[in-house]
Amino acid sequence: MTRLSDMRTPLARAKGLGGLPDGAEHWTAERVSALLLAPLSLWGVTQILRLAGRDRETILAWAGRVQNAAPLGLLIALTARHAQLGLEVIASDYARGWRRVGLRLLIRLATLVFVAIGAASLARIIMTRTPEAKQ
Amino acid sequence: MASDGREAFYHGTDTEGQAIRRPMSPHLDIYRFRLSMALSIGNRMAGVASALGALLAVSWLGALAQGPRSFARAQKIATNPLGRLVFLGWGVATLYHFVAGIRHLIWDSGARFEKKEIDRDGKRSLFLTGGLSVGLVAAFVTLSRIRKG
Repeated sequence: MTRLSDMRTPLARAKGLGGLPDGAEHWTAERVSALLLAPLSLWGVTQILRLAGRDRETILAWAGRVQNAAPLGLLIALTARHAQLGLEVIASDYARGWRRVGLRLLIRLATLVFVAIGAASLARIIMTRTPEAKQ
Repeated sequence: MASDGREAFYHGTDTEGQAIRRPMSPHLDIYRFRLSMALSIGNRMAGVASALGALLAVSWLGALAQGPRSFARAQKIATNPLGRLVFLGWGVATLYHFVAGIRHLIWDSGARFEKKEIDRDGKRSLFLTGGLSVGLVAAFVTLSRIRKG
């Protein structure tokens, strides 16, 4: 990470120049999250097909199992990260000044809401179900 | 936009000597249409659509966790024609963003940058997205029907 940030001049770094204050790390983080998301999304597609047309009980039992809940949680977290990074790039490309600041705040807020809903839902599903009882 | 420092460069005069705001450097409207430009902005829009759809998906998960009544309501919304259209749109957008994202990772490695390769891969990415969409939608609909009886 430090190697990438060294590609900017000290003055540029001090002034926070460019659309994003830490563009090089941002760029790398976007690719890393994409690389991790690729196999996870494929898994997600297979699980959507697996659950298509199933009732609530079956879906709850699915989500309550660790081997499903773990990748689902990871999928939610990485989706949040990748979406935030990507939307920030768009904001930095098309908006300037206060509008950009406002957009960035909105993106962060939306990302937090997304993660909060995902985490709370998963936690509730896992905790309200004792896997032994319902399988 | 007065706070935009670039404005300083746009002061000019026309042939009559009248002060005008000079045009910005032309970019979007002077180029002949190429597939790659549509695919590029399409990937960006697909990314935004995927993110918005993910917010809906996680809300659906919230309804699932909340209780049978919330879940029934969520399913009612998701299975009405508009809900299905949104789900389809989210799916296709995400598939395209996936395919285009893989292309970006390949470009990041320095490969497939030749003009011909870009044109060929662009068409391929469209066919791949279309094929995956049709196949997955068919699988989803068939499985749903079989399981619901």
